[in-house]
Amino acid sequence: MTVDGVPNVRVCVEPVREGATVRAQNVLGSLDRDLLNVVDRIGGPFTPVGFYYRTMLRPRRLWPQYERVLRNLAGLGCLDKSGRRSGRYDVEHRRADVLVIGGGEAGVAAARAAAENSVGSVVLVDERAAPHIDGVETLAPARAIGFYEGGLVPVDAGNVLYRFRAGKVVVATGTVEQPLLFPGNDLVGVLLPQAVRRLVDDWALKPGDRGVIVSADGAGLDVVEQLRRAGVEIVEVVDLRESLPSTLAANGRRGRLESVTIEGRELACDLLVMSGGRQPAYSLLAQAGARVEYDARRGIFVPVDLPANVEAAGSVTETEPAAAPPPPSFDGGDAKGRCFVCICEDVTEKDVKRALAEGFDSLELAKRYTTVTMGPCQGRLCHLPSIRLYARETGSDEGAIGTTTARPPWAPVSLGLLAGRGLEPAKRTAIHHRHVELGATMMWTGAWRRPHSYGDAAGEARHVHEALGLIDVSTLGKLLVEGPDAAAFLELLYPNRFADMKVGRVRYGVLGSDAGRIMDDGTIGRIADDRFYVTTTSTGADTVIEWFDWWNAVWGMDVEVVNLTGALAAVNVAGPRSRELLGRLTDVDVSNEGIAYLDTKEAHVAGVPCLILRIGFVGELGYELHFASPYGEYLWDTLLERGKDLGIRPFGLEPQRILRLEKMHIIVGQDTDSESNVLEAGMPWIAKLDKDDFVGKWALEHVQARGFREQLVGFEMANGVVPAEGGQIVLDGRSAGRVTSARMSPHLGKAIGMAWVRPQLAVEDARIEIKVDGRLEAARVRLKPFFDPKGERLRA
Amino acid sequence: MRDIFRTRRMWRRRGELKPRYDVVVIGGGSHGLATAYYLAKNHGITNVAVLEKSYIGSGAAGRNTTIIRANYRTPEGAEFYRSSVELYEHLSLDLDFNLLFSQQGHLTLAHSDRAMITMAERAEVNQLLGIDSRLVYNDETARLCPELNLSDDVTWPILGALYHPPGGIIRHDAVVWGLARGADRRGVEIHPYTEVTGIERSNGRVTGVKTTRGEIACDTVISATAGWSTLIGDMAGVPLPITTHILQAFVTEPLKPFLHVIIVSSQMHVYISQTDRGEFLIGAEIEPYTTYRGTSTFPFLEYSARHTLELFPQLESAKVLRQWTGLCDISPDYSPILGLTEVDGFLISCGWGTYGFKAAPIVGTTLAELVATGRTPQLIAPFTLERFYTDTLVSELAAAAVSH
Amino acid sequence: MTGLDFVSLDRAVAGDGFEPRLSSPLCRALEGSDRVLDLSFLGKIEVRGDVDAINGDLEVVRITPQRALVLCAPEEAAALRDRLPGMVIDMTAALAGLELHGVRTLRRLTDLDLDALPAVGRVADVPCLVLRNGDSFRLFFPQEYGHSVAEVVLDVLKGLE
Ligand SMILES: Cc1cc2nc3c(=O)[nH]c(=O)nc-3n(C[C@H](O)[C@H](O)[C@H](O)COP(=O)(O)OP(=O)(O)OC[C@H]3O[C@@H](n4cnc5c(N)ncnc54)[C@H](O)[C@@H]3O)c2cc1C
Repeated sequence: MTVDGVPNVRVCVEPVREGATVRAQNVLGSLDRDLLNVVDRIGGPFTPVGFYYRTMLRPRRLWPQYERVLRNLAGLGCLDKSGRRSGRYDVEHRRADVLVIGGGEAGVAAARAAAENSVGSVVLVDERAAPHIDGVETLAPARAIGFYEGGLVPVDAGNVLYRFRAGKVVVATGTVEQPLLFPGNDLVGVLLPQAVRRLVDDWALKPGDRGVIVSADGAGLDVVEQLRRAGVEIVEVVDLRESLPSTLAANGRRGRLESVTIEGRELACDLLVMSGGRQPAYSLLAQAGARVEYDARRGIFVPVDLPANVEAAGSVTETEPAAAPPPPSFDGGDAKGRCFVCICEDVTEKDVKRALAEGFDSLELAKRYTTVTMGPCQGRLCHLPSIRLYARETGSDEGAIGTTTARPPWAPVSLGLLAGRGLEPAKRTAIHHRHVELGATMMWTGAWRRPHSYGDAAGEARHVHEALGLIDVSTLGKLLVEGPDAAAFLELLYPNRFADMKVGRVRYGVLGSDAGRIMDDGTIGRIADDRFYVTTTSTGADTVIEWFDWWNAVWGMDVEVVNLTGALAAVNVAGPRSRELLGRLTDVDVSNEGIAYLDTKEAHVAGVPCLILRIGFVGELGYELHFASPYGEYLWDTLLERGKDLGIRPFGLEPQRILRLEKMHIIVGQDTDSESNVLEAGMPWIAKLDKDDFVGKWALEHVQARGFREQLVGFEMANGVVPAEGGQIVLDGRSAGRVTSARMSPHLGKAIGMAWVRPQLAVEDARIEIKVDGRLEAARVRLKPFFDPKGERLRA
Repeated sequence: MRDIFRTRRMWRRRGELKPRYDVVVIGGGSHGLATAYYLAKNHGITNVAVLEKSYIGSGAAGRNTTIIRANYRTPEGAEFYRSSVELYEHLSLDLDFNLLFSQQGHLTLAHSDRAMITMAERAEVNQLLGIDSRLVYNDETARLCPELNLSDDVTWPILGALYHPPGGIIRHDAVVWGLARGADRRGVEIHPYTEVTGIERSNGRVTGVKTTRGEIACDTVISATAGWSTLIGDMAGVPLPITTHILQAFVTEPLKPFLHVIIVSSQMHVYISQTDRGEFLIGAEIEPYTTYRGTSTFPFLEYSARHTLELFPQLESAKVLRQWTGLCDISPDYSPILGLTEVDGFLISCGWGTYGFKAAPIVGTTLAELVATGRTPQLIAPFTLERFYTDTLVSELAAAAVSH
Repeated sequence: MTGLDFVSLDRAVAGDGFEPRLSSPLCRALEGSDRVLDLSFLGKIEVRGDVDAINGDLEVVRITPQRALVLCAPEEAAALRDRLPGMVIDMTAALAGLELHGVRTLRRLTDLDLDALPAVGRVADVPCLVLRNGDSFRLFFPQEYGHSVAEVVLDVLKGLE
């Protein structure tokens, strides 16, 4: 088998094909070749199902090349590699008292009846067209694409997706004509009656010159007149209800029908209309919860036990046998053509027999092995014929074999329509526009966009140490915890102690899960006896609020939790000159006595009432101002303006990260992961294990007892190279820890970072080795903050 | 070549159950069949029955999106999955059955700098273990996947990616069938449509199982029941820290080759590959609720389509053909639970969540070794059930949640 | 200052060269559009506790049996905060608001049953309280989503033109 010899197969076909046309095409038996067809030419005249599982195994190194060939053979349509989204899509949520699916006779009658009985709003949808009916809203062309949870019926109307929820759904989807199985049934010129009707009625095309009709029901015979009118000579009509030929085959050349052989008689023709009866289109009903049962008398599957609020109407419910169940397949005598069971997937009768003989003897296994029903027609044309075949070949009956699951969607639906408008909701702070105007590079933090920096991260960081910086921290989660039990509630939630906290003070807290893992951190200020102001991380806010609400419900304490995240904007004014600026804008005493480190106070700043929190995430004297968000731009502008002579400069998230790292302040989720706890993270003072109880206490006690497995420490690089965050600490060639944060500190002129290391390495000055770009670089462990270890700047 | 024209049965017709087997494997998915296969192949233990309540591969094995990769986050995890990928690379030849393993490469996208750190960490861990895995930036990503929309004009711009060249996809059914055939040929009995309804114990030891087709005596029972594991655990009196969720997926109509690498975006909860059949195979993360009800939902299609088009706007006109769901057994640390339990003779393979298919061969070899030798192989020692009592979890949250 | 002034819009004071003014992501996004009415600075006072005890000629939207939102003119907010029963918290700054018209427009924005309003659900993919008065609808949602909601609303209106 050579690879090079394979022709460059198949021109690309249109990727988007109208459903109706697809079916007609497939019945016509398109000249397209797909995978197995083409491989036939490689493998010889006949390549059995599943052949690729058995071939191209050796030599193993050649498989990628074989695979490329296989890939190139598969697929139907071609995508434009440089395509952009072009369509405009909308979604419309609809309710209706009655939704009728299918605009045939039965559907129209059902809609009309509903309208006449004035049951409320009535909507009818049809794939093709629907007539005007008084009191009924019609949508066409529009296709119901499935029946989903809660009775949701999405309807594809081109560029609008209607999501219907109806009081009652009437399914009038009719029946699907079934093909017959005989050799040559894929030839161009072999048609189903429906295709004939379309060709003649809709497109005024003459489907052939000489026609033969073989039909198991009236449908095939009904087109005889039509064909005659179109000028087709009818050569022979075989009504299978009256006589069952012992052999039947279609013969052709180059894929086109040339003659039909019936019981040895060869009839020249270029058109063969076949009809194997009709199968109710029950998929929507099955998705809605109906059971599907085999009706042996009629030889078809029928929906039964419809759920409440779902009705079937018209031929989907027909009870009278209209057709004689045809044989699962016809013997073709010595005909050469192949007998197709599934045209989309190129599966022949022989393939099915072979699959059964190989042991794929349940319907589901055989389906997966042969891929029958897995093509674009979604089994409409091959499901029933294949089950008939399995039944005959396994000596059982169709009822015992049953059907496969009716998987949605019922009709193929484009990703464009499903996607609708390509927007995801994103959050913006009240000061967002100012950042953009100042030329900040924006980055994502959760659903927020925040300034990474205003162009000079290192400079911005240095400036906070030397003069004055301003950062928008509005994205912090902000909660009010209020009520007689507020202090007790926080005592139970956090490992920290709060009962002893004085009004007007702030404390750093770390929230733990019930397994003692670090969930979030933030500051907690007591602003009244029974009122606490709690901040959370930007990305953790929603989780923390749920967590608070959950425990509040569980404990039933007298506490209210209010989410003020969006209500308040917040900025941090930080740097040695921050006190001077604040003093200019407020009447309250801003001296170290007036507002000490870790104090909180309400005051008007530039006329806006603010909650002032004196905290030091960035390591310098600083004040967080929290205030009603609509004043965001105003206060930002005012701070920049009134601080101009003090050299005020906005700084972004990146400089803030450098600054906090110099202080060894952790970022939850970066320096910690889902398994970290406060003890090993180097913050034992947080956990008041002498408290009666708090969430996760047992787990921290357990950690205490079992001893530490790893510890979070600082490190300083020997040679000034900055390792990657996520870099590995290596000991004897194996991982002995990981870097969680690393930066060059412009103020200290050193490469610093934080890392989780084995406990034996968690001692001041221990030498560790970190892998950087494939080399090992030396570093020293540091346990105290790199900058201002005593916190003198913060308290200044 | 000749051979492909001969019709040979893949496995024997299902026979009667024997009264006694040395080993009973519950679950005819990839793990159950792999365990049976390696018991017979590597250790000559062939008096083995695989009991499956439906047809083989009816569970997650036949529904998964078949991503196979080794670029996990923890050294324990990465080492374990690496061994599995290596076994997969040779499995087609080993089974003499082409599993269509397509090692097209695997790109996990990062849309935030936090994600970049996670990717960097995984790359570093992987490289220490000799796994081909590295961080790439957009210039290289554009070379690896020119079709990917790398512009800023989207909700979540791409900052970089973790590239893992050996990552690939495979034909899931072929894996199931190949293993089943291999096991069957070595004497293992496979019993589809045979549901286990109880596990007999005496003095803390397994003595047999009850099934819908009668009772069987045995000393060793291996539960490889993935999404159903807690039900089997309860039968054996072994509570498992597992919840069962559904995971959904869909395929489009087959299209000409377009995408030649697997794309994963955890941020957008979507991953996309194009199979050898030409279909785009698209999946998401688990549904947040626990259930055994395998109904597909429409919102899943909507948000997956939206996220897919952010990455590949060219797919706007591609059509969804089929959607389905499968069960996932989620463990607290997103790592599996493997091996011995407090009940003698009752072994488990569970906690596979959304990522267990890639582990089938290594689970099979290690569990078979454990049964044969009575000793827990080093590779799976970190994944014992005991770790939930000793608090030695193996956190793969950052690498396994949506990455499969 | 007393207690929670920093949450309210009406406690700012002009003077001393300071002139506090209001803005929001929603106002920004709606600049230049006259299709919708911005209700962001309408007074919205949340009451928790015995909401049945709320009296007077007020527009009260019950969210749960223990929670209600009282809508008022901005200048009435301060007085209301003082006299309403239970725990009272000013949500004016937290919630952005929009008024728009047309059932069709709403159908393209939310799957809420428009005949069963007021209700809380999702509008343009964000959590939202929807009130109805005939053909006119008021939406209240977290203000930080203001620009996202505006973008979708304006696009929907364009689609219906
Ligand atoms: C949509 C989806 C996508 C996924 N994508 C990936 C992926 O890309 N990569 C990856 O590595 N993993 C993926 N997974 C996960 C993976 O499929 C599973 O972790 C893995 O298949 C589980 O092992 P299994 O094959 O043995 O399980 P299963 O195939 O579920 O086997 C368990 C079997 O146990 C049987 N059983 C249950 N109860 C009983 C009983 N009482 N008696 C007898 N038999 C019983 C079931 O019928 C079932 O056949 C995905 C999963 C899903 C659902």
